[in-house]
Amino acid sequence: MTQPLLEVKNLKVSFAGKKKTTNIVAGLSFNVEKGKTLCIVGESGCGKSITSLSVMGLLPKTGEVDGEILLKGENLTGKTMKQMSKIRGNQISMIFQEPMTSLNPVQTVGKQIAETIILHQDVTKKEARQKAIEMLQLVGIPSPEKRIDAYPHELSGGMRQRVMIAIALSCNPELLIADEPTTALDVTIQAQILDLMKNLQKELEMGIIMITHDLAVVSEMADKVLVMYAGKAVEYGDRKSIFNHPMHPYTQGLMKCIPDVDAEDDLEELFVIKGSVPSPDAMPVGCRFADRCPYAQEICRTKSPDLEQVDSQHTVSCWKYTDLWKDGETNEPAISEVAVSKSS
Amino acid sequence: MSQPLAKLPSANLLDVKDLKKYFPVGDQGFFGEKQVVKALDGITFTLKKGETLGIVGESGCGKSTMGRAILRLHEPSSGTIFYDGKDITKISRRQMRDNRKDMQIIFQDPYGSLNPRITVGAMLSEIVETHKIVPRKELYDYVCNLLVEVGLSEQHYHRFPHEFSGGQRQRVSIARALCTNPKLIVCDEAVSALDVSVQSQILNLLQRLKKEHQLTYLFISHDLSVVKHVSDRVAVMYLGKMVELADKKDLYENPLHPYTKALLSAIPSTKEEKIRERIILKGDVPSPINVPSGCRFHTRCPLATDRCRAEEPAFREVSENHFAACHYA
Repeated sequence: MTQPLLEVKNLKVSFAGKKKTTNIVAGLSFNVEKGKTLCIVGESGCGKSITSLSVMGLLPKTGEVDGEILLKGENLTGKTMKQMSKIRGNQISMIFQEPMTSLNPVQTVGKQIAETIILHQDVTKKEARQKAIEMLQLVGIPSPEKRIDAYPHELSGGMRQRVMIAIALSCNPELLIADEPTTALDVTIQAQILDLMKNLQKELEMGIIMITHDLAVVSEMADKVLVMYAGKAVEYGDRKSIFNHPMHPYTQGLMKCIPDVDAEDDLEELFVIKGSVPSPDAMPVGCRFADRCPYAQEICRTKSPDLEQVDSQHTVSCWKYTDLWKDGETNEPAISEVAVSKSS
Repeated sequence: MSQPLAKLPSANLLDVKDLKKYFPVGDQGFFGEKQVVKALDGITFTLKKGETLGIVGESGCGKSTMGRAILRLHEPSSGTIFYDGKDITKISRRQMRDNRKDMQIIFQDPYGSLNPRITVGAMLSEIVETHKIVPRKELYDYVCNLLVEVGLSEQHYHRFPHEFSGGQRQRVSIARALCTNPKLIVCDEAVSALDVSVQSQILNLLQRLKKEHQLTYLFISHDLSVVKHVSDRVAVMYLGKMVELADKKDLYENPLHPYTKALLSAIPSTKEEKIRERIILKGDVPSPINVPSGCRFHTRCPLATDRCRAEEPAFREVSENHFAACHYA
């Protein structure tokens, strides 16, 4: 097997507080291959953004990273700030959610793109400007020679996100991390941006980590999917396998609670995952989803499950798929009753 | 799911005619013309009792302005709004304030719309007191009941907004809207800021309250799947105008306006077999200061002709109860 572009092994991130340390990410492993997309899905607070920031080496100082982050076999966790800033931009780039706050409002977009190019490549200002125009052209901004001297506020949301992508791609990174790149955009613009990212990926053969909470976006973009819940991976595998046979009760719940545009009949009520995400200070001992899980048994509340291989393309962290599962012990109400009891 | 109500001469709770809202944006030089943003440029629709009308459109299309103009939180520039047979654009602000007892709004960001410095109980009590809904003695019980009704509990009475999670805060917002026993609630992106698992909880809550209190919703959202789930009828807006209005089923299965078609095709789907033939619109929404001539959508429309560039299409009934503003619908 060839070496994957990025290999993350047992990543743990914790933040030291005054009294205690809070674990945000607890043992996460995944791979990203060249030219492929990994989507990390999860709700707010599940640690998906922290994961991406630790790959970038951009965690705040109070954050502590444990485990291995291997970029083409090279471990990034031990790198100094200086070494990391050479890698960032050149080999790994990132697009953030809010293009207005991540662009400098008092500089023209051209200058901001050229800055990255000058920093990482040995070029003159003139060449950098020329390259910046090319980049704007690449991301589909009309009349780039004019737009290059525009300030961020003169551009629309979709255009700003294109500029962000242009900056991120200006040094041909091998890995692009996109943190909710389309969440702030309208559907028609979202379709444009996703389309653009797919085309650029084909052209430049980069690996993409896409972080999102939108399952529909995942199904359009992903080759592989990692579902996170409360700092842990609950399911990891091939997109097809996960969407056709979601195995973890959390993944199943997530898929069911979105209203389906294609549904023939109207549902009276949507499926509900009862309760809410546990606070990172008070994580349950056993499976972190146990309190909200309709199937939870004794073992789920006492012991934390590991990620188990269910087939070659699919791993899941749930006791239900192990030998320790006792059939018939589930005394929780069936799914439909859960929804009703919640709302009555 | 609309309930037939024949008691009144018209079953329309809300009758909006040619509603306009222009915002001035300063002069263009000394001799220049005054510029205005045409946030709403002639909106006409009716809302039946017990119905949910979904409003969809991209950001800047005027959907939120419309929600606020109907409650006169923005004074409309022109047009009429008949609420329960009474023209509320003609009444004084004071009378309007009394009227708002019947018309409430839920905002997108529950943190921004709750006062962070007073407890939830105090905030709700204040509203109930102002509108004299119940005698003072019953105030506490009334508010507690309300909290239970939206899925919170009595203990939450003495808590501050920051002690709640996003979903709980939105429940408080719903309680706030509900505490005056309104008939109409405008939900302005009420579930957009929530995680999907919480979103489904809140949507179910809204649906249940609608049934129990015979509410009428004007449901504003950019999320087409959510709108399809909650609405009876759906209106699509583009640059301050309605471009299509129809029964939910009709609109989603048989869209007539090219913009609606493009919007629907842009929804990503989780079902592999249902990947749509995508119509990718070019460019962005034009500025509402310089609205394009003729049909507003012609700059992005894949089917635009010379007629579209010159002549503005009327919002007409193309088939029964299915309105669209397109020359070629």
